[in-house]
Amino acid sequence: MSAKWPWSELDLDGRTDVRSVKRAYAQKLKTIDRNDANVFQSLRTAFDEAKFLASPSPKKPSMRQAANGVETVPGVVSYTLDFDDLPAASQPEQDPNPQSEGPDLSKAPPEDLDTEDTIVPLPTAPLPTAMSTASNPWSKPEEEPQSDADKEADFFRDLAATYNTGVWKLTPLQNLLERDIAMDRGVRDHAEYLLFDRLREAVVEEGRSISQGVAKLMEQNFGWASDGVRFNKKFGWHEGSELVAYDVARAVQSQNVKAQPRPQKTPLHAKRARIFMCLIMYMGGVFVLYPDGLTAETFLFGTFVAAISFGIIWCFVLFLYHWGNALISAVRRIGMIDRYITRVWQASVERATWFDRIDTVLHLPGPRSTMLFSVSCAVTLLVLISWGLSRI
Amino acid sequence: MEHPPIGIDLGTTNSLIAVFENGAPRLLSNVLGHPLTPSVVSMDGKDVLVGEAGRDRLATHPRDTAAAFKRSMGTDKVFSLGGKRLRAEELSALVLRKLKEDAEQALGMPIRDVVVSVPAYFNQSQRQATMAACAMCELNPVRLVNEPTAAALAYGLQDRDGESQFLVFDLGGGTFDVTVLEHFDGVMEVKASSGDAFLGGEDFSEALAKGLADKINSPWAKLGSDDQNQLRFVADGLKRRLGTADSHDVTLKLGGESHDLTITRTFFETACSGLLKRLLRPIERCFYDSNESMETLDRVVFVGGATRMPMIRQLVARQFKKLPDMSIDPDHAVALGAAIQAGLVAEDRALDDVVMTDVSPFSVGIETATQLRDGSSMEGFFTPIIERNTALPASRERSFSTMADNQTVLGVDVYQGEAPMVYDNVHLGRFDLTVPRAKAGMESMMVRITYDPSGLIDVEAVSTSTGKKAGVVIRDNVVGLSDADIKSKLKAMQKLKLHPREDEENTALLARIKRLYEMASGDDRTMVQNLLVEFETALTKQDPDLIETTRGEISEVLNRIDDYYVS
Repeated sequence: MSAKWPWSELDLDGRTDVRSVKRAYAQKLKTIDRNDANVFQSLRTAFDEAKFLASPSPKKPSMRQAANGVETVPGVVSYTLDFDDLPAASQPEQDPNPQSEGPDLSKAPPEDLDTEDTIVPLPTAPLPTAMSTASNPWSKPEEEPQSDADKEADFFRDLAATYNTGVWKLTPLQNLLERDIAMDRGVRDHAEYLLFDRLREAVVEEGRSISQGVAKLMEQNFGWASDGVRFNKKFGWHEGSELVAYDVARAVQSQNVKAQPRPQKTPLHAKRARIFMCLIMYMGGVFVLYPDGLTAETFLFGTFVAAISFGIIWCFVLFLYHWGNALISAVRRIGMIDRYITRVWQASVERATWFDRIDTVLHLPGPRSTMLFSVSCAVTLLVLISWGLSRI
Repeated sequence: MEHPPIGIDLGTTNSLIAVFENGAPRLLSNVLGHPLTPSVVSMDGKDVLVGEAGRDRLATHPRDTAAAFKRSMGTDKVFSLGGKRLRAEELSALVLRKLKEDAEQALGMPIRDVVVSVPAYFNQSQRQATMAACAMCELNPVRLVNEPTAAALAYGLQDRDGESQFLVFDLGGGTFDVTVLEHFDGVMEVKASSGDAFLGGEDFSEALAKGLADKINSPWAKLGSDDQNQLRFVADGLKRRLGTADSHDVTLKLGGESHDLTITRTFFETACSGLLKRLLRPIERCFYDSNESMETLDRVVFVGGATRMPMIRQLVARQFKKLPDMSIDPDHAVALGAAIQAGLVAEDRALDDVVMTDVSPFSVGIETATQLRDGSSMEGFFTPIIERNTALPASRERSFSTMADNQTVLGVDVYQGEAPMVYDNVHLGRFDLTVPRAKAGMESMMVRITYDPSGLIDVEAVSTSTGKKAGVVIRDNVVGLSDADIKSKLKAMQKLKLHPREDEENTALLARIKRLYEMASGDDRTMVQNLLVEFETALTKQDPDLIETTRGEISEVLNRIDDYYVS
């Protein structure tokens, strides 16, 4: 990559206008091997970069539009006051695509965004009224310039009233989002952002989790669960956005799971592990019972006793474990225990250690089960020993 | 290719075939002289009727007829027609065979290599089913082209040196696609594509049919399938009528009762309000992904028959504040574009200065697990490596590490989709990479995914410490069907005889008369019956001229009747 990148990649001498960049790209594109991903992508990256550098003003961020637009709308003062963090929150939107625009933030100082020509005003120009009444909406002149701004103000006021309460009422919220004014892209974007921000606050700062109803509502209206990529692009830069995404996905997914059961992965070596474990248990039992030596008869009997007693004890421990887990999650649901989830994105695993294998066999994830397993083993052995002693 | 490049639009309601010759695409007409062949298959005894005859039999013989099967591509749904059980790809193969025969007749040479269009939002298994359908009728699909891209090509070729940014709004019979493109200096650049693979004109008819059922106070769910079919047929006709008229009178006969209704356009729009809302999400997604704003669009291009509905035009006008462009017939644009794409693939000289770049409609990534704070782990998260709407060909890599101590195997499951959990996405393939034993997180691998415009996805994982490689190649081919399977399917398909060509016009007319007979009442019914007798008499005389004139006369009368009873 030379100093003249991206211009050199496009066979240009230096900074120029968008038109020339496009022309250069078109020419170069026709000469390269377009089936080679690396060749194509390096040209493509250079093109995107050059186009960005050459364009007179940076791209307009959508959230900024919405925020600014709303601030100019009269009658929504009360609502903006409720969200004193609004200007700060819209800050990151200036960089909607950090990967491609990363190095050039310095060239696009934030003040630029406030100049008149770079901001697209929120459609304060009237939108056509209800679809059914407007047979030819695009030719409709500006009839009611005030009414749409009013509608918008009303919308945001009602929205704020709905979500500022502790418990969200779903039906009014859904009705609100079905208003005609909420179909406008700028308004919808902004409403989505406000709802997200409130949910994030609830999840991150208040330690609550998102109910299934709310999650469904978000999925239906904005596709948070079905479109993780968009969600991440839109809100990924917020602290705790992944908690919101996880909660929503889990709440919505819990229905999908029923329809499409999770594939159970029991690796083959689990079988070997099971046999090995049983063998150890049986042998232990037998040696405790008959320290003097084994005959075929006593071996079989000892094995039988050990197997039965281990089974009974294990079932009991398992019952306790699941019951305890259910209790923990119930308590967690009503918000008494802090959430314990961290996200470390790593590759999917096939477990390899012996304890992990045991976990797989018993369908219990994590070290907790290993402990439980050891406890059951110990109890079984104790029972066997005391029984054996009583026989002597 | 020995024959000129051929493009096929295999649609939900209609299919078309076009050829690229002398620097321009041209539609090939079927034996009835129409470029549109309805994608309807009907079994008449041992004969298979495809096209208009089949469509008319949809009303009279619903049990022997299948329509809109494109929506079931890539699923295991089985349609039973007259005792035969056929899958969606087999039915599509029959339609393709019909198109192939028509084209061979029109061109006077056998054809083999074709470009077939699919909705941009078709996933890998739906694309593979389309490829299978081609293989079953001895066509070789050299490339699958996304429908909006094809339409854009058709529009772009009209104005080669222009520069514009436009949106293709493709609402077909069963699928909905939105694509934002930029066109400059002969480069056609797709910026973003999105859509809904299960939303189309058929859903609007269905919604109207349900609305009609509500209006006459007989709940949809309680109607028998025959009544439902009849309502659907009426609704489909009404939909077309309401495209031009503000209201239309219709007579419904259900369960011996007759209902006279006046259906207004407003009623239709209310019935479809939910569907209109579903149209908005892909549009929003598209703009979000392309980082463009609606203001920079120069025009909105309409593709697909369902865009003729006035409410769609209103929706678009309202959203984009622009009048939609329909300068190419919305039914024809995709087929014309597919032929141009065929020309591009064949490196036709007339297209030397035209280049097209497309994007991946879905994200492709692998399954990952995540560690919870209590030490337990949770599997099933989807981590995209190539995000959707990346320009193709693309190649991206990302690193992943082990999660457990002494872990020796890293399992790579490749998925396609957008949902955060893999179970909601489409599974493409899997492989394992072995790594040396080490503490958790100390061993890692780089996973590289390469995605090229022909639909080939190459996944490769390299262990960082040992350099050991493993991988899988996923392509638009026929999964689950081996070559032998295809051959046996091919044989089975060849046993199904298409109705003889020379007889087709007559069969189509007979099917139409029979449909109108069932629909008409009173005197009209007698009149239709007379027409039937008249036509059959003409047929028995075996005089081609007489048959031709009778056919003409009868068609005119039928047109009038059709106008009266909404069809």
